[in-house]
Amino acid sequence: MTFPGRLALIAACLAACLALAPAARAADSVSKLRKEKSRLTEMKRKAEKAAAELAETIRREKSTRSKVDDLQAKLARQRRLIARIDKRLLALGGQVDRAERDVLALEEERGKSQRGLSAATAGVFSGELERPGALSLTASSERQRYFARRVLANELARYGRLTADKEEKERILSGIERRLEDSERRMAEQKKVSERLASRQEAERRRLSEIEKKKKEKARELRALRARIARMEALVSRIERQIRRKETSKKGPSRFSGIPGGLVAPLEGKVVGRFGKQLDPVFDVVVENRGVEIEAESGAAIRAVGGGEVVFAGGVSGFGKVLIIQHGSGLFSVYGKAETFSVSQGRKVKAGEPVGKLPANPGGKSVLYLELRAAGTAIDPATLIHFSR
Amino acid sequence: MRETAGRFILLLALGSFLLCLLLSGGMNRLLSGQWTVTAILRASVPAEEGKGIAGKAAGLPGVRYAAYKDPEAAWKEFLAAYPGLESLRGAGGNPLPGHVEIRMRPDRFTEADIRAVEAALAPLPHVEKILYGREALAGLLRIREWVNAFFWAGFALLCGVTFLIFVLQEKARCLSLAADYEFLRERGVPARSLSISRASAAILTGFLLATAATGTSALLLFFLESRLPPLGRVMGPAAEILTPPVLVPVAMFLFSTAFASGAASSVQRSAVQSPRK
Repeated sequence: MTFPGRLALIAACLAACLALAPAARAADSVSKLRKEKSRLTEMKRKAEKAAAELAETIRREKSTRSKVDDLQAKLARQRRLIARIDKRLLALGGQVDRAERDVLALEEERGKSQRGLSAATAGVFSGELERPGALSLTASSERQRYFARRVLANELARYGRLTADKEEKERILSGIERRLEDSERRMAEQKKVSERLASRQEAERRRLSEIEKKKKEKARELRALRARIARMEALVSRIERQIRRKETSKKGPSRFSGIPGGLVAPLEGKVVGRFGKQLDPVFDVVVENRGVEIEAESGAAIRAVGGGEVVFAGGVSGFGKVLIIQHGSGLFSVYGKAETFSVSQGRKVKAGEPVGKLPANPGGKSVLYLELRAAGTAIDPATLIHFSR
Repeated sequence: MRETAGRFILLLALGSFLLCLLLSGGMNRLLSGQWTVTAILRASVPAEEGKGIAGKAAGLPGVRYAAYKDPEAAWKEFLAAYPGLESLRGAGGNPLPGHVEIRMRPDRFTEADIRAVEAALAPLPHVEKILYGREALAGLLRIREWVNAFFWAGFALLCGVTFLIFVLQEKARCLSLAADYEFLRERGVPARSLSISRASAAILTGFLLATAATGTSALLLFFLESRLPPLGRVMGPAAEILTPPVLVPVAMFLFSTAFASGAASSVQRSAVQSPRK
């Protein structure tokens, strides 16, 4: 039989019991109540487990989303880097074109210079050969020879400069070509890196979608469990009301006036979890607290808020060790998240009597869960008890 | 008359020779016209500075002419000397600097004067180099001296030949006039008086003939130079004949010719009279 089926059966049984045997003994009702409460506890444990799984799923989702975002940022950086390299490649290509044009122009100029130099040398020497004789050695012919030497030297120097320029340009060109090759190699490497990042991002996205799917399932499961818990709590409350009605028929109605010693604070501490609707920071949903959480020194003694009888002492999922004291006048006090309880079920306690202690915590602080129920309804403990801090 | 015409022709040749030698200075004018001293300026020297250096060079002793030639003129001269090399100018521009061309006076065309010009210009910061054919100059000047000596020797020889001709002419005249001289002596005319008058007449006619011949030579030179200008570049301008450096030697030549003529007359007269004693 499935869990909801069992719940329905339990509810039906309870309803039948309440309807068909109104005069059953109180001990049977309490026994049934305990049985249902233990089931409720089991359901809460499952809900806690589901919540833990959901929290783990959310953590994984956050982690995966962070990875996806990180990969996205890396990919964007990679694309920018590739764009820069591409731009640089374009610029280098332009530089190579220009350098090649320069080298060609210099080569052409150098060729012209070489041809001119050869022609000039031949012309000058043939001119010298055609003008033999003493009178050719006049100062004006010496000046012309000087001009010729100077022109040839100038052209030779120009030829040398052109050669040096050409070599320099070729050296620059080879440097640019090397840089171009480096950039192309780097581009190819960066493209490979981009592809790897893109595939990793795709994998992480797939993983993220799976996690989101799982998260939705877990959230749905948690909501269903909480709904069941709520229904079960309603059932428990109804049983409690029936028990109370029975007690009222025996003792007559009173408003907690008969509680011996009045109500006192269970320990010195600060209220860190208030009664009523609160925003759950983990699931980002509004949850309704039916009690308060009091932060106190680790290992502090827990005292009974009023005189009464211990009706339950045991573990409850999500609350740790739980103690329930029936104070009469329809009032119950519930103590949760304790380490140990020093009283057992059926024991009578007085107001302010130590009943247990808080667990030890490395931070030095522990939290006590305190819930008050009257007429089957949770009431704010702060309205009945004065907490010191 | 024939004798006078002969003398005139001889003196015309001598006068022409002398004027040519005096005007040209032998090879001096030819060489000083051909030979130039060149001050190559630095490439950065502007035209104004170049002209200034040319003016300074023109003021140096012994310099006949100095002119600044800009780089374009140098390039044209180079192309004229080595045609077909225009392409060398292409991208590099004109590689030649400006220069100052200096020509020496013919009478100061000596190695010492050329070196003095070099010494004056070489220290200038704008001057890069001085060109004057250092290697060839000494040899050329030696050749010039030999050629000039040869010319003057030729002139001297011509003078000697002329004198000899004068003597021979006088001898022939004495022989032809011997009867006349004898007739005058018998009538009491002293021989000395005859000789003196004869020599005086010879001096006068010699001077007049030499003057006429030299003047004719000068006129001929003027005429030829007006028709053949290149002759002026070799010989020198005929107008310089009227300058003292030419006129003084020419005057000396005229007087020398007159005395030579008189001497020839006297020498021959004595020779004619001697056998009779």
